[in-house]
This record gives sequence, C-alpha cells and structure tokens, in this order.
Amino acid sequence: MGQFLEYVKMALDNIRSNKGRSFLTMLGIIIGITSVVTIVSIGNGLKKDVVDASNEQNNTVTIQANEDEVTDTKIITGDDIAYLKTSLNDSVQSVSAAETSIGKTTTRKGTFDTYITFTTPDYENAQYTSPLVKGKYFTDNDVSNANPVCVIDEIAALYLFGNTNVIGMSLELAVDSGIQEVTIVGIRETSDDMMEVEQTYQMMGMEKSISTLEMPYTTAESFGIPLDAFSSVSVTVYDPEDASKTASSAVQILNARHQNLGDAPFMQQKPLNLSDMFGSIMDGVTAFVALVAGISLIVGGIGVMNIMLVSVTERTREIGIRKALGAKTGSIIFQFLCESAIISGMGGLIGILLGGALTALISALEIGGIHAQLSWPAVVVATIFSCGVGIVFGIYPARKAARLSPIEALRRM
Amino acid sequence: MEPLIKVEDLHKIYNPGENEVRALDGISLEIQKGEFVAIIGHSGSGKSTLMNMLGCLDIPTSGNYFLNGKDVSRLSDNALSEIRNKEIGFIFQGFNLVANLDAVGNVELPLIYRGLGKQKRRRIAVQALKKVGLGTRMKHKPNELSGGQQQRVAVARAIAAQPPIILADEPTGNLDSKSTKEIMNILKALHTGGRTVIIITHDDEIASQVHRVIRIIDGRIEDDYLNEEREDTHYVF
Repeated sequence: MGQFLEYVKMALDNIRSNKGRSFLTMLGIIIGITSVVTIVSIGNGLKKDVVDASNEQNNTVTIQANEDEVTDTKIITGDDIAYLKTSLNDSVQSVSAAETSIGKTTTRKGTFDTYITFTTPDYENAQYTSPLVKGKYFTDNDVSNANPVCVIDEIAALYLFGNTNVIGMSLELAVDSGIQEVTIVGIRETSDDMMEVEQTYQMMGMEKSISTLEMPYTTAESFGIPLDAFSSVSVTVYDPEDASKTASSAVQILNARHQNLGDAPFMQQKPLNLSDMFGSIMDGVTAFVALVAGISLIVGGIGVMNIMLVSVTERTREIGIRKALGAKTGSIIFQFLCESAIISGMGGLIGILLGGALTALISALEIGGIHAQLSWPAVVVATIFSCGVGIVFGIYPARKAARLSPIEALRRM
Repeated sequence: MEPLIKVEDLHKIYNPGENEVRALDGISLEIQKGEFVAIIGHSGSGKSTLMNMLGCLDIPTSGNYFLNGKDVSRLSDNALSEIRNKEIGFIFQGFNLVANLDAVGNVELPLIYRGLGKQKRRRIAVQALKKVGLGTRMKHKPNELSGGQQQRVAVARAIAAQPPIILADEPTGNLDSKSTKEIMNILKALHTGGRTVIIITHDDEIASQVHRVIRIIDGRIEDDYLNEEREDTHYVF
C-alpha cells in the first residue's frame, strides 16, 4: 500500500483508455450530484426569501380586543384611533382600522367585481399600500360626514373608465343591500402585487378585473353594513425596532380609555412566527426532494458497480498477469477501488461544478423569482458521498477481481 | 548443497471423489541451482499443473515443495505472491502482456509490486529491454509489436527483477521458427549467465536443446535424463 500513487496512476491510465465508457459511468453520478446540489441550493434560496419576506412585516403591530375579556369585540371607535394617533409619538407612520367587503361597480364600461375596504383616513400610509398618484385621500371630514367618496387604484380606473383622469367622476357601487353613487377623490398607484394578480387573471382568460376601492368606514352604513367600531387596529411604525414598544403603549392607552370593560380588554395580536414556520417547512421540503434526488446517486453507484464488474471480467487476464508477477490481494483491490472512487469522485466534482453553475444561472435569471444560494454543506456532503459511492459500490467488484486465482485468470483467453 | 527446488511426493487432485482427476500423482524431483531443464509431456500429462506448482501459482493437494529450502506448499495467497515476485520470472506461451501498457510499462510491472521507486524501475526496465534487443521499441504497445518482439518483452519482464528461476511455459509455442530460435538463444544465454531455467514444452526439438529433460506422463515422472550428446555452446548475451 506504500505505493498509493502507483495505483492511482494505474487507475487513471485505465480510465483514460476507456474515456467514453468512464464518462457514461460518471454521468449517473454527475446527474445525481448536480440535482442534489441544485435542489438544496434552490431550497436554501427559497427559505431565505421567505424568511426575509416574513421578517419585513415586523413594522406593523395589531392591537385587538381580548376575546377572553369582552363579549363584543367591536369596541375600537374612530375616536380611539384618532386618540391613539395623537398619543403615540412621531415614530408612528399610520394608525388605521379596516373592514373589507365585496361588491359590484357599474360604469358606462360595464359592471365589475369590486373589493371594498371601509377604513380610516390614515390607511393611506398603512403598510403595503402604494402612494397616491392623483387627487388626495379622503379626510376626517369625509369620515364624520360619511361622504360617499373613494380612492381607487390605477388599473381599476383603466378598467372602469378607460383612462386615469377620473378625479371627480362617479361610479355606481352596489354592496350588500345598498346601491350608491360614489365620487372618486384619489388614485393609487397599482402595487406590484396587484399587477401580478392582474396578470394572473389575464392569463386565466378572465376579462373583467377585480378593482379595489377604499372608502370612509362611516359610509358602510349607507349600504346596510353597520360599522361604527372595529375589533382591531393596526399601528405601523417607521422603524421595526420601535414595534414592540409602540405595541405595548398602544395597548396601555386603549386599556385606559376602556377601563369600564375590565382590566385588560386589549392585547397585542400575537404575530405569527412566519419565518420559523416557513423556514422549517422549506427545510423539510428541501430535504425530501434532495432525498429523492439522492436516490439517483444510488442508481449512479450501481452503474459504477456494474461497469467495474464488466471491467473485472474484461480484464481477468490482466489481473492474472499482475497476480502472477507478484501483485497481492490488497494491491488488486486497491487498484480497482481507486478506479471506482476516481470515476465517482470526478463525477461528483463535475456534478458540483454543474450544480454551482445551475445555481448561479437560476439566481442570475431569477427563474420563478428564486434567488438560489449555493449551499456549502450540500457541496461538502456531495463530495464525500460521491467518493463514498465509488468506494462502497467498488468493493464488490474489487474483491471479485482480487480473489481470482492467477491460473484461472491466465487460462482465459 | 541444498537443491534450489525440491519436490516430494506432490499430488494435485481435481474434483476429489468419483470423477477425480489426478493431475499430479506423486511427483518427486530436485533441481539444482543453475540447471537448464525441460519438462516435457503431451497435453493432459500434468506438465502445466506441475509448472503452476513450481511457479507457486497453485498449491498442491498433498506433498511438499521446498524452494531454497523453505516449504512453500502451504503458504497463503499473499505470501505466494511475494515469492513469485522475488524468486520466479515467468514467460508464458501467450506472452501475457498487459495490452494498455507499453513495453517499458509491462517490464516495470513486477518491479512495481516489489516496491521500487519510479526512476529505479524505469532504469532497470530499459536495461532489460536493451538486453533482449528491443531498445528501440520501448514505447510500443503490445499490439504494435510482432509475436517474437512481444515474447522478448515478456522475457525482459521475467529477467528485469533478477529472479533466480526463469519458468517458461511453452515459450515458443506461438512463434515462427526464426523467433523460436531467438527466444531459445536468449534462454540459453540466461542459463549461461547463471540462472536456473525451466522450460515446459511438448516439443522434443526444444527439449533436445537443454541439459536435462524430465518427461511427464499421466501426472508421473516417466523419464529424467541428461542430454549428454548436447554440445556445450556458449551464447554470449
């Protein structure tokens, strides 16, 4: 065994003299390793995207009526919301409450499904809302007078009127049991998310879009929906670090204003720990898919074993010669093991390079919006595993070769 | 003096039981260092089995084989490999060169298993190839060489490690008369140089060129005589 390099050289010589076959044998390992590395890297990227996305939410906290303390949860009034806004300091971007409803909008262009948000003026700056591009948002005055005004988004304007010069125009809105003329006061930019929804609808062949409409919450009553208080209020802060502090002071303020309802009628809505949840789901999915891909590695390993067995049969005579000239059992085993380990190791290396390249390509092209991230643990495991496959699946053929009796081997022509 | 090879009552029985074949049926012989011996017999006589025994390629069913005074008839596979590597140079009828190695590579084979370093191996292999007259064909693969040249590579391989015994199994069986003469001359020169040369053959013409002839029939020694009339020509190597 002292001549490690000799056996490596013998193995390399033999791989070189059977280039085509060696490559085809490697192919199984290459495909296996490429898929495992790529899949784990994609999973890695997805997980990071999801965790990042769910961490973003943290600058909005929601205060809700405590269901264990109060029977009627609709206890947050417009006054409460206005008071909260003034009481909390400058770090607060928006304090708003909203109820949503579904209705139909009719203009000269036809009738459209509509998604209505009955809300407070500060909803303008709530999280996930896009800036206004035309007009202005409805005001406290609109709220107290229950003026039938609304803010719509650009794409809805295009659907409903064919252009976006629609400030001051009116549309007919039917919600629940009421129908009313509503005047448009502002237009929001259509958010990227809404654009995607639109594109999906168009792809699905749905001609009519669902438009979104925001109105003073006090107008809900005119449609037959009683809405004078909310069960929760959302507070958005500029800096996510202020979120928890702001949440507890908001709870204190509301509790103080509603002392008659009990000790603690309000509580902070427990934020779902989405990042952990999605993270572990992604890990599980990735592990499962990687395992499936890993099965192809075993298939690849069997390919290596098969070719090595063929090689042993083909080279019976050579093995006989080597043994006659003094090769020991260990030397022959080692020579053949080197060969299978090199074949699968090289396959693994090529697979890692290909997997890395695919990962980079997927990241660069953002296929499916995925930011794949090369997973180094996957690379290390793949390297060890591919060499391991060669050795494990090489042992049987190598032993078979080494156990050949030299006279038997030499007799075969 | 202790004989180089001493065989006592050697038996080799295949398929023991009803259909047993007694390939060797009680062979006893001694070969001294420096002898030039032909073991002759028809196919099926057991001469190849005897050659396998003498070459430590196989172990006997019963009996003893002392090589240099050491009993090698019960050794393990690996121990036999080591003895073959150190003590015996093989020349086969079918040349038995490794096809994807060039001439030098083939000659280096036993030296690799002896554990010699790359440069030393190369030097010895080149020397051996020059001795058999293949100094200009070192980088040729076996399929680029004629039968006679291939057998000379095999001879170079057998002598490269300087083993005391040269064991040649029908060394001229696949060769034309010219190549046969070349190979026989090389073997004679090896004997003159002090090696013990044993040729296994079925050919009386070959047997007539050596000192001592052992004739095998049905696994037994039928005859063991010296070719007294043979001229003692000295071939210079």
